[in-house]
Amino acid sequence: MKKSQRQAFALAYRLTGNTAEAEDLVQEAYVRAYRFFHRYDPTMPFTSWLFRIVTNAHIDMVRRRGRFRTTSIDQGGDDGKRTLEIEDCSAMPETILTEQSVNEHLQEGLESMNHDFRTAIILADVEGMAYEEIADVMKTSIGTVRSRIHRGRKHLRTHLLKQAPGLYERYCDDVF
Amino acid sequence: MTCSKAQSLMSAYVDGELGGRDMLEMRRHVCSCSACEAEERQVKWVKQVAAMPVPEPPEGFEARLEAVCAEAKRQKAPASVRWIGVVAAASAMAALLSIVVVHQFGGGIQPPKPYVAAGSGQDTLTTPSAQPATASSEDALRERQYLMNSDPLSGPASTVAYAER
Repeated sequence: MKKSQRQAFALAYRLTGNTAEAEDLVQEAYVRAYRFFHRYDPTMPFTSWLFRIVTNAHIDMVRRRGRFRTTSIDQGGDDGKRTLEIEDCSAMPETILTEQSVNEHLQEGLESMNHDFRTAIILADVEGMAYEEIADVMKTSIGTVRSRIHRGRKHLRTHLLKQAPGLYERYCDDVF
Repeated sequence: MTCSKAQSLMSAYVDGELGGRDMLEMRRHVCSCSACEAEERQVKWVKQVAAMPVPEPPEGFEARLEAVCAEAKRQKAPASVRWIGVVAAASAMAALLSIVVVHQFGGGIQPPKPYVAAGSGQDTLTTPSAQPATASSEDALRERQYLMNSDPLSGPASTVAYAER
């Protein structure tokens, strides 16, 4: 129980970007889980079902508040070639990459994505789920999950390389 | 394997989500191609950053969640389900009352008569092939088709069998 609460909180935190909203979201998800437990399919792991409720509750929460800080990766301009505008911080090498600032850059990158891409990445990287489990949570095919994760990571990489170029250099220094 | 294909499979490769053959081909390609090796490094980096730990839940998170869950348990059935229960109970009471009234004043309950289509002498749920339609029983056929369309146990298959004749 405690483990699934923590896992739900981690997902909710990456979806909302702050602890207060994450807590609200987890509470909302658990209330829904209790109310609609008769709809739970026991062939599905409980956490997968709970995660599906969390992601659906998040969509509802954002709709209610009228705030969707996302831009579709598929969205193009009139010429179909528009790309996302990301501020270039590479001219500030003195920026200290604390854990908090990395977290902020990561969160911004995730929030600049379409909800489905963001959810696929969080389930894969934060929750460590297999593509098949993610497909169950998102009610889609494994091929779609694979594509969302691939394109979502590409987008996130562009964002992080522009926002925090030193982060990649530090990683390379650590690894090699 | 081409670099373009390798790069499109890179996330699945890093996640260990490729099948045996693709996995082997990717490994071979990545070892021999510096561009794809660099791509692999970047994908691993993004994965590592995305997996960075989230902050701890606020203090009292679990206690508050348990309190909310306890409240949800108390009000488990949603309003719509509760209303369905009330309506079902009222219907059962009404049905019971009508049985009592019929018994008292109507001379007992007659069992429902099975439907017999005019001119055929057969039940609607029997297979259509067992009851050939004749030109003189067009009205009976139309009536039977109507009943089959409205009976959820018959379904469209039987209707098609009639239409084919």
